[in-house]
Amino acid sequence: MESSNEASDRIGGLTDLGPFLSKRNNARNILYTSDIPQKCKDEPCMLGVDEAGRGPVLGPMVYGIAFCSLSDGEVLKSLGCADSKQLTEETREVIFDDINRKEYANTSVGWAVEVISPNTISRNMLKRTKYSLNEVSMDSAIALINAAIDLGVNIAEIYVDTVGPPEKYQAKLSALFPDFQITVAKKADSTYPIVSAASICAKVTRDHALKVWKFNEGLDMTHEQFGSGYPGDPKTVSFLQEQSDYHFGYPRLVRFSWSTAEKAMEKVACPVQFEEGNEKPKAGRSIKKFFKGENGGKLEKSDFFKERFLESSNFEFM
Amino acid sequence: MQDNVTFQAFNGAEDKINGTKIQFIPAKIEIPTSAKAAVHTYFDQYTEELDGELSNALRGHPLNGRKCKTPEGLLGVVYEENKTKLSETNRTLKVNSVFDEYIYWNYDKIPSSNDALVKGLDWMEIAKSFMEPLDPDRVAEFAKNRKVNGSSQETK
Repeated sequence: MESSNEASDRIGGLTDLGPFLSKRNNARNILYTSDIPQKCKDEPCMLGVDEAGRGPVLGPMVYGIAFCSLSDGEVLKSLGCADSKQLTEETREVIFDDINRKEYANTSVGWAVEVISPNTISRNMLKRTKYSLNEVSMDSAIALINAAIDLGVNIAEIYVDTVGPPEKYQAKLSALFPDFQITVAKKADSTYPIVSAASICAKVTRDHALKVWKFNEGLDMTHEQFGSGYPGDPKTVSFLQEQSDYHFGYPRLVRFSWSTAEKAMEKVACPVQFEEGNEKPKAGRSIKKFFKGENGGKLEKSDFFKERFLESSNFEFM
Repeated sequence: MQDNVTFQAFNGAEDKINGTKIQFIPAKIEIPTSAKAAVHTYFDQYTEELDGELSNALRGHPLNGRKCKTPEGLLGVVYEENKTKLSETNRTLKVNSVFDEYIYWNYDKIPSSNDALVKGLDWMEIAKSFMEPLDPDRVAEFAKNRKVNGSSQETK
């Protein structure tokens, strides 16, 4: 998966997040890792994994990890890391800021996110052999865990929130990381504070990615106009109805692989037929052909021309 | 009945190459219009190049591309139809632009010499052999050889 190679400035608090994201190419993925607290290298750690923005038809999906020493569970509680869906946007932002700015937190807790661009999501899901969102998700989680390992985080336990079936996911992660104790569970976000911390980092990053979204296509619109990106949001619905391009469909804020986008595009843009992956099998010889000869007595076109889609014509030059 | 289409004659000359960027896409626009497509804002700025391989996406579909040149001694010509047709069956096309290079895009498949467009250009070589005037000396030589072979068969 592609990632931005641009120099990664440091995110030291909530106010750095917007400028950090707006400097980067929003058509590509962005991977960011925080400074690693010394404690996370010295002591065995727990690491939580969660995602934000899986459902929306607009904007990136963000994968996040957070990690801290096994003995620092209290720090997570003091920060207020609990079921992130129960927290308001403001509370999440305060917690995110505290994780980065408050000394008791930033000496204990580290985090990382991968912003998976809507362009990347579409391009993967619309491959000839589909690369599903679940696979994209797992690969992103694996990349983040590997990034933490490379930066020296002393991982002992991993907790992963999943929307899909946990068993398959758990088996895959256990095979890749046999040294860690791995727990994959639905709603892990509300059960394990470290997953909640990861969820907060992912969700705050996703919200900011939309807030600072700059349309390379030149549309002068903000997230207040295009909405949350959820298919049920009336602002998002009208964005899909109004901001289309006849030939190209939509700007690359849109996940083209979402059926909501496909259906909306049918109404506002030109129908486009992509080359099919499989050639149609040749039909068997019909009985008619047997009596009349192949092709009604005419000469069958040579394979040379068929393979090349060449046809004769009677154009004249003046 | 096939339409009677008249092409404006084009006397191939390199100086007519007018820098039009030609891109061959693996998709069919079902209802073409005369409106210009916003190729730069919606497409070109997203083209990425890595080791000579180009990549981009069209309506989210991944594309793999390569810069190509027209075959030695050949130029590509884009014809444009007059907006006001004389009649439905008598159509006249005029030269819009001339090119000697283009970008070829495949849908999620790295371009290769197996692609239909590249292979289709083989026909140009074959057609040339058909159309070239015969060299009288070679014809005479061919006829002579045939006679020799023919008579030697008779003596057996």
